Amino acid sequence: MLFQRKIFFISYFLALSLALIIKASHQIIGVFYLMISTFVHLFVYDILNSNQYYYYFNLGLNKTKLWISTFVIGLINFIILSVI
Amino acid sequence: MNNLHVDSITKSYNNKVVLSDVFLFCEKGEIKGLIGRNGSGKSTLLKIIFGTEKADSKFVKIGGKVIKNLSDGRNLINYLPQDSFLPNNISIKSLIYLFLDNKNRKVVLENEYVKPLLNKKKQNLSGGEIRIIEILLIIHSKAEFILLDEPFNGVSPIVKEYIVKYIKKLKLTKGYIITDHDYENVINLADSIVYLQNGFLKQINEESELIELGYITKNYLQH
Repeated sequence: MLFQRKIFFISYFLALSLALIIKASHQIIGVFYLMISTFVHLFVYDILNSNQYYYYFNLGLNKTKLWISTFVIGLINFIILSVI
Repeated sequence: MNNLHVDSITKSYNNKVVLSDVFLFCEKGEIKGLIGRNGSGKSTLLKIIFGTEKADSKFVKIGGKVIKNLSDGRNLINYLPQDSFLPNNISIKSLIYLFLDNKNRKVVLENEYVKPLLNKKKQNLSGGEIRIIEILLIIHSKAEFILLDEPFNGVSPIVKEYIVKYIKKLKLTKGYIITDHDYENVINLADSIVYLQNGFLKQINEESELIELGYITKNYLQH
């Protein structure tokens, strides 16, 4: 999904970097991702590019749905990394 | 779904009434021009109809369907905001593919203004180029009613003329509500005009009424 692409790559890069710096286990990357993706979503869309929301609004997606998608992707990522 | 019925829209900010019991009706095949001074609440009204701005009270209905929020209006109402809404870092071609269905996509992909820009990204385009892509995306979407908020922002006169003709050509299939800071653009395009002042909407039948309302001067009209 286009909306999540930006959030995913930036958040993953930051989560991995943070995990490497503090030498955390891969399970922690999922926790970092979940937290960081929330801030990246807020920063990229609500602060920097708030008008880009209209692209998605015109497709029938409201802010609640977009926030849920960020959280669900973070949760799936967290579950996958916890299981590995 | 042949008409858009907007009724009882009231909105106030910090005890200042911006919209007071606004009524608006637009039929498919009609272009309704919405004019008013800066800060009169034109964009707010369009956003309330679209569902991205909360109102103190509102009633929006398309055909028999009551539109209470953004999701209800999916494929029924689309809105072109004043400022660019295209996501960056992705090709125009991909944005068109994601936004439009098969049938409508082809028309936009083959448009003379869009075709040379398909492999470019938003950040490599001029304001006018971005605007024409956005207008075409919105008017070729599935939505039956289109809200255009200052569509001619940053657009050159020749492209402006092209857009006016383009919308007129397609007007039978959709209903349009259009605002612009330059009222001549609205007059050129619209079948009927409504004027928003002090929160109230007034139907304009003669341009001279705009002088009485203090929107334009007599000299401006003669010009």
